[in-house]
Amino acid sequence: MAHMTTPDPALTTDKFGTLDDESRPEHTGFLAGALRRFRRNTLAMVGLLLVILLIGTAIFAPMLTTHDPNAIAIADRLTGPSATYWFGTDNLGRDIFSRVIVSARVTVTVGFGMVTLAMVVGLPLGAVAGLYGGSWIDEVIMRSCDVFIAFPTVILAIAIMGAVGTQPIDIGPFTIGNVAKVIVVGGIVLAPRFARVVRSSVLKERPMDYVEAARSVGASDKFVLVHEILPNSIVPIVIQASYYFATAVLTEAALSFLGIGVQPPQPSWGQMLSQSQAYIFGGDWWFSVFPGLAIFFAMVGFNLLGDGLRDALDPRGAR
Amino acid sequence: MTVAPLTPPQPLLEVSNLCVDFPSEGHTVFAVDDVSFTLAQGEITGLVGESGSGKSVTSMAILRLIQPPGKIRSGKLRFEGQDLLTLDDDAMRRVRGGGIAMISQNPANSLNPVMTVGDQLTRVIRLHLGLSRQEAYEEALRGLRQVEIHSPERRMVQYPHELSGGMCQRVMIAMAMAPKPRLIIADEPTTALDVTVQKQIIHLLDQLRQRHGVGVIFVSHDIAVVSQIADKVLVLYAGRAMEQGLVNQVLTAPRHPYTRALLASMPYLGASKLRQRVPVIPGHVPNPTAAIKGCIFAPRCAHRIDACTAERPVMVPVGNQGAVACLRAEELAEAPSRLTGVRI
Amino acid sequence: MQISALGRYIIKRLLLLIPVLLGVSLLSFSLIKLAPGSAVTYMLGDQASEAMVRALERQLNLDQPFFTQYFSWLANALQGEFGMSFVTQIPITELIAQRLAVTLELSVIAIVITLLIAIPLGVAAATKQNRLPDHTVRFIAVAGVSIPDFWSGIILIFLLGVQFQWVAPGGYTPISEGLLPHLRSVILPACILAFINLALITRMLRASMLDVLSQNFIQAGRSFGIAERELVWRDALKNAFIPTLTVIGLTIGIMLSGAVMLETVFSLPGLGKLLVDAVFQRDIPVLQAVLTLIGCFYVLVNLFIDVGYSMLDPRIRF
Repeated sequence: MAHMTTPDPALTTDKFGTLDDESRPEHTGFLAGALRRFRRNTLAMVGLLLVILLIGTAIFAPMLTTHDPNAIAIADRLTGPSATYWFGTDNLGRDIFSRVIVSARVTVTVGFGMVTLAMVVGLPLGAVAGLYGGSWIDEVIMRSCDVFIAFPTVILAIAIMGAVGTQPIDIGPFTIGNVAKVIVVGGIVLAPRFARVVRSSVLKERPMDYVEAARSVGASDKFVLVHEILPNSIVPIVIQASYYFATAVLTEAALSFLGIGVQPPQPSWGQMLSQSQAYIFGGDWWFSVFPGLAIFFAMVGFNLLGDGLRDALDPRGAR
Repeated sequence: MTVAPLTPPQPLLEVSNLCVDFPSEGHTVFAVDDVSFTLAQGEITGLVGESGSGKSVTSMAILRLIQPPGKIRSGKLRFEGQDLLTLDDDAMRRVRGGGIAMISQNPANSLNPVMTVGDQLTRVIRLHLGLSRQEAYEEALRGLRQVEIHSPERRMVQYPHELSGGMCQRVMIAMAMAPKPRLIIADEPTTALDVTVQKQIIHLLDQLRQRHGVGVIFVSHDIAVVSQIADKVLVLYAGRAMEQGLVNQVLTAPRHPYTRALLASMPYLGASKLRQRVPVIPGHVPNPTAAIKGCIFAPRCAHRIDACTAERPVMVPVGNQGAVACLRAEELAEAPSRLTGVRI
Repeated sequence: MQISALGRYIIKRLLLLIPVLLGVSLLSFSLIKLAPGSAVTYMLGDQASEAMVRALERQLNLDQPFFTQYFSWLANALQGEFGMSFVTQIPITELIAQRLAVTLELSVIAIVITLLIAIPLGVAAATKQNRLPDHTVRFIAVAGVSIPDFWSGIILIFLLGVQFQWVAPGGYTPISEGLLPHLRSVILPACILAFINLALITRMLRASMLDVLSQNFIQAGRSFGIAERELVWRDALKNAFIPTLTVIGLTIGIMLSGAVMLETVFSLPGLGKLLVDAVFQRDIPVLQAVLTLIGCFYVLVNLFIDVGYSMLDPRIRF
């Protein structure tokens, strides 16, 4: 709860309390304080490390693999972890370690894609709704968002992907593959949630004195929104984006696990788990354990990063 | 002002040499240090001091409700002849609310926000008087009427947030009085209320004292409020007793420089008419730790001499039932006019 | 007086929900438009002639304009009639009725387990001097939401179902075949569901207990001689539970998603399994119906929790 945190002089700004036009969150004092708090937070640093590890793995995946991730070696099928196959092999004798490594790529791609799309769609929607808070524009936008928010993310994603199907869609010269479809579906599912966060933080900023001041000297709504309100409401948006990465990773894994996400031959963690399911009864634990651990660490990374950002940027909302 | 009744052979409450410690970051704060006083049945004693003077800690200590890591280091607490410090937890719990009731500072926060007034009243009544639900309900209604609450039946089903602050304080007083305690500790009972309600509450306490003969410890930072109700007064400063005595004696002829300064800072009581600004006591209340040797008020005292910082003054009886802890009390009493002045 | 005010509040909230519920049904219904090609091709197979497709479409009203289709579907849905499954030709309402009980049972057991552990744990964490360091508790909370339930399902089936054989390694035994075998088939997924939110709710409860216990009325209660146990378990808990309740509302969505995945992993014939099967079989009407139901359920549960909140907290009156 807020009263437990020691008041930090850098935070007694207009954003967090009294109206003091001298020190807005984007001032260096605020950011330096946030950075200091973040670096002192062990769990946040662990989260950051995991996220960097994930992204690094995705970028350098081809250099990190020990085998061709799709090379089938029936003779070596379902062998446990060894010096050759660090994470063991799957039911077709493919190297699980290499497959886990290359799957990081699709996870990061899908994650970034979903969150970017959610932001591109959700940010303007939420900003406009917040700016015209209480008007019919706000009502229409937010009620529409409520419809999407009425469904748990994973379930809505499953239903839409289920209806769309896994067949590639041809639009003119382009073929929409499954990775793109997963990104679009996840983005659509997340965008309304994002819009809601943006709207509430814009609403919080709107009655602030500096906004009034800008208006009183004749600044337009758009100017006020882009130059005054959004920079100040960036904090909850950044925090939320980090959590949505975790949701995106989970959504992709769940879809792929059900067979309606990333399609073979492109490996993904969820898909590997799905393939492993039948073999767990035979005791081939490594097949299930390693892809699952990969999902787990990616989720932990983004969740801890989100917690750390929240604690660093918005100590009043912490705990 | 009522005249203090004759002290019966056994006082209602006897506090002797009470010491309460609060360990904090490497040192110990002596929140209450060697405080003694007695209270007779039907008597009202005012505990007066600035914040941090130990007056609230003293009242919590009487109920043995000092929160860890704080603790009562030494001293004696006798209530109706019973040593409170040796009671087991269950017996002590029966004393709380049953024998000694407490009315605290913020009436609005002192009631559970999610329980009705009636539920909270009857709970306390049943706990201490062992009545049936129905009897307790009747008793609660009677209690509410006694504190002049209108349509008490309606109040019983209301929640605390539906009552005004003054009304909450009346409920608290009713709750305190219902189990028929012999002593009430009122910790700044009027501070959070506005002036007219303040007067009503004080009047109410006075009436209850007269009607039921309960003793009252009235804790306040406001010596003016205390003067309206108390028979005796004990002036505390940084956990130590400075002066005690009958209230009109202390008010008209304060012996301790601190009492004088305190009175002088009260606009209606001691400030000279010629002076436009109310004098404030310079400096601030120190954290009473072991390091302080002599008189704890010495650093801020206008009449300090070297001896003041060398040894701690003891309470010396003065006048009728009075006592003062100042080396120079007698000497300074000779020339009272000089004493309203405060060192700048 | 109070009840009627509360009644008015509930009615007002329900009226405000109507557009959202309509939107939920519209969104669910429009899934049919997302399906590539005609929905009936999946019923008739790839070999069906154009004429056969058209005939079936007419029979199913699929040749009508979209909104005509939607409103006739909605009118039926409001009477609890969702049409026939494309695949099994069983009335969808019947399918759902069979499956609902499993999902509800799973969720109720999970919530009960969560509360049975979270309440004492949260209270103990708030009152006991010797407690786990905060960041350990936080890490457990993060782990709770970060472990994919379908993964922990597989791993625990291996450990508890295959290795130790304490529980059924998947599959559903109805209660008619005995209570114990039934419980062995549902207890593990219920526990996994419970674990997802356990730490989250414990942490919330601990924080609000700490907040409440530091408030004046607790110390005032002590000064009236009320026993510590009563103050903690009655006075403080009732106050602390109110904010915790909203968190529980938020976790219902996580629980529903969890149920879908876990029913698939454990082969439990619940609503989630019905949804996933409908996805595989491209049984669009079933998909529409289940999605509508889940959306409405989620919205109504959160309304229910808001109402519960205002009933528990006398400070909120409408």
